[in-house]
Amino acid sequence: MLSSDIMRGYNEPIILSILIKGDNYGYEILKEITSTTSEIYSMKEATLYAVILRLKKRDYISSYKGDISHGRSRTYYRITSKGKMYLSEMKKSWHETKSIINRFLDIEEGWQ
Amino acid sequence: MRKFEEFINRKAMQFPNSDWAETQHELLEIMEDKYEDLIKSGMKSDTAIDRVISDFQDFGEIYDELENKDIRTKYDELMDTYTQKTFFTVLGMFLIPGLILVILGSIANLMNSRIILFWGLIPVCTSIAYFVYLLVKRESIKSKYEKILESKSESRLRNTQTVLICFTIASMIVIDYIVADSILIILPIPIATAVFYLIKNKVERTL
Repeated sequence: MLSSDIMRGYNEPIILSILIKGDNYGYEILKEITSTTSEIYSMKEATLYAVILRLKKRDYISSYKGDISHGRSRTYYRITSKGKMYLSEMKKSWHETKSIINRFLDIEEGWQ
Repeated sequence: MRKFEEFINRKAMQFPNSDWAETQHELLEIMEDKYEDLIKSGMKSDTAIDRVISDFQDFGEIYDELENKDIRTKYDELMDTYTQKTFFTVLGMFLIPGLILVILGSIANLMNSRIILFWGLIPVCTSIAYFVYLLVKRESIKSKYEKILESKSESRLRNTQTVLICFTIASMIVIDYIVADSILIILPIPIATAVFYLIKNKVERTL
């Protein structure tokens, strides 16, 4: 299991990268993270919601009420154009970070 | 589910000023989804409830986000109030005392005694005192909140602007008082400055 401290800085782009594929709701985002990482990383519910609050505050995502199913409606989140721009900046930043860390750890570029 | 609502309400009591309604609803959704998922995986209802609540115990990160939001909202509201008050005081400082000075100037000419003009000092001094009070109050709120919101450099820039504008307006009042007839010529300058400052602050805050 990955340390949540290491992943903390990338929780925002992780959620945005899920939302760029389509609108989604809280618990499904959590499940998507767990399944994409083959359960190596699972985000805590409180962490997810704190990140959602932060993304909403910065206008990177918006929310809306979905259709009622099983007697209740769900809140869906949608990435905004500002959020898309931020995600593309974070991708660039990740490439740079990865390249720097690889140099220190003697890992060749392109190593999987 | 009742138990989840009670849990969320207990947490809500710790920060009553927050915009809690939306947060509460969204958190409940996640809790209920997780509960249903655990039930589907074969867990007993009581165990699932305990598990969901225990996973949500660590509210630290959510508190941080909500508290920050509260401070930002409160700060924006206070700044808007004081900016508006300062703006209208600047307008009042020129319109009301200026008008009084013009009227007193006419009476002084009629009575051939300039001493009557000193009565004009009362509204002028009152306006200046109130304006200074508002500026001091506004700056103290700014420094208090911006320390928390970590935008000190921006605050310093705005402080310099405020001092410059204050100085310009004070100079205008002095000139206005010495040469009462000049009010119509110089009036648009401080008004334009105040409007510019007000719009600039609004724009900066929305960015």
